[in-house]
Amino acid sequence: MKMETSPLRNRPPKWMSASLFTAIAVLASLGIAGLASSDEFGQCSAVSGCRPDNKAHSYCFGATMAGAGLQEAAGYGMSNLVAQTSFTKNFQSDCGSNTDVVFKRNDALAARGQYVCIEKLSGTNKCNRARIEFNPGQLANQLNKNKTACHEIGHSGGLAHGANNDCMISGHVSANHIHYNGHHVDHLNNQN
Amino acid sequence: MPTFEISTLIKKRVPMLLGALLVCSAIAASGCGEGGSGSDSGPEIRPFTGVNSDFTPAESPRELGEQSDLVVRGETGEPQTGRIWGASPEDPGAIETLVIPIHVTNVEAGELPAGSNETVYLEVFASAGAPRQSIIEGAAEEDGLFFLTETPEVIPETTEIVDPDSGRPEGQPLYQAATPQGLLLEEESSGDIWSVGEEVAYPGVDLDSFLPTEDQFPPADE
Repeated sequence: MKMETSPLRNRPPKWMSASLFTAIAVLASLGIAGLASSDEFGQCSAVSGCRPDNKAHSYCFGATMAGAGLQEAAGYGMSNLVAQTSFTKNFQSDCGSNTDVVFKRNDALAARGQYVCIEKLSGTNKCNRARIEFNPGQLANQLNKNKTACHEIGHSGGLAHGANNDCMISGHVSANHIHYNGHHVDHLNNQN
Repeated sequence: MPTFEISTLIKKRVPMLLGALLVCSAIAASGCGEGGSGSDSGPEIRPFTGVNSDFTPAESPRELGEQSDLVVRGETGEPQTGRIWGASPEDPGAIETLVIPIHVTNVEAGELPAGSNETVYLEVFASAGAPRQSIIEGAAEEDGLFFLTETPEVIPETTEIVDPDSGRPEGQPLYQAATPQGLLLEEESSGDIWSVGEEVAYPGVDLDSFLPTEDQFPPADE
């Protein structure tokens, strides 16, 4: 004997459909990137850069930055920051006490690159001046130099490590990873 | 007066409750914004802050050991003034490091340098202001396991340093952490292991879990 089935028999109840709709709407409003990465911003911690004093980044090169593609990498990183965010840049041929970011080469560094806040804005947790250094011995090619420049400049804007689809990932990359994802762009633009 | 069936009430409220639950979960998962540091656990004083590096993460203690020249257990001593990395003390990009003596209790891999007197010297880049002070206040007398690489002699043409021989007794090398994963301290109050360079706690384990013979890191409390 054939059992009669209703075409609606396997359809979920209306309240469940409403829940799914709510869930999708919530996920969409928060953005997938926000859910995918657990991060902090601007905390001046061991994993997150300090908030800068403002979004006008002046920068200069230390004397040993010439050669090895490091100036090119730093220039790429600054241009990318400006292209992707509301930051502005201003190259200074001479480093001075008002320069926001001083780029240096450091062949003795036990890392690919490093960001250090060297002066806080008085009475705040914001960084007035920072040092970014590169160790070309750990940067296999121009792609990786550009990636590390993007990474360290991201720290100078307050970003933390953690995303797996942009330059804030740690270590060697073989492709892409030389930009900020939308989540990080939001952090940089909104400074929170 | 209207009457409600319980089943009707539940059906009406469930979507709202699920939505609220999802919002809460999503905010907790994203962890963004102006909250505290990455982990709520760990010591109150967090040294090595305001310094971030791009490094190649090791997948296991064994791999971290392979990246190291020396792996030691020991107790940290009082940090001392280190070297000035820059063209001159007035260089706007110059930074003065701190040097933390580590009084070695056991060598897990590698060899102590000649004449070390069982103390090795860890050079750390110290950020401005409070973070730098937190190293001085927070790094002394901590038991830990340290994965170290010897800092190579610098070539002046490529790396600017004012006083290359400062920060330790004459003839002794300076070391850096092989990666930020390589500085592991025992947190006295909880007994957890705290990776200071990553701001990550490892609860319920001891330093033996990180020996360079181990093929995986224990689960972190992130």
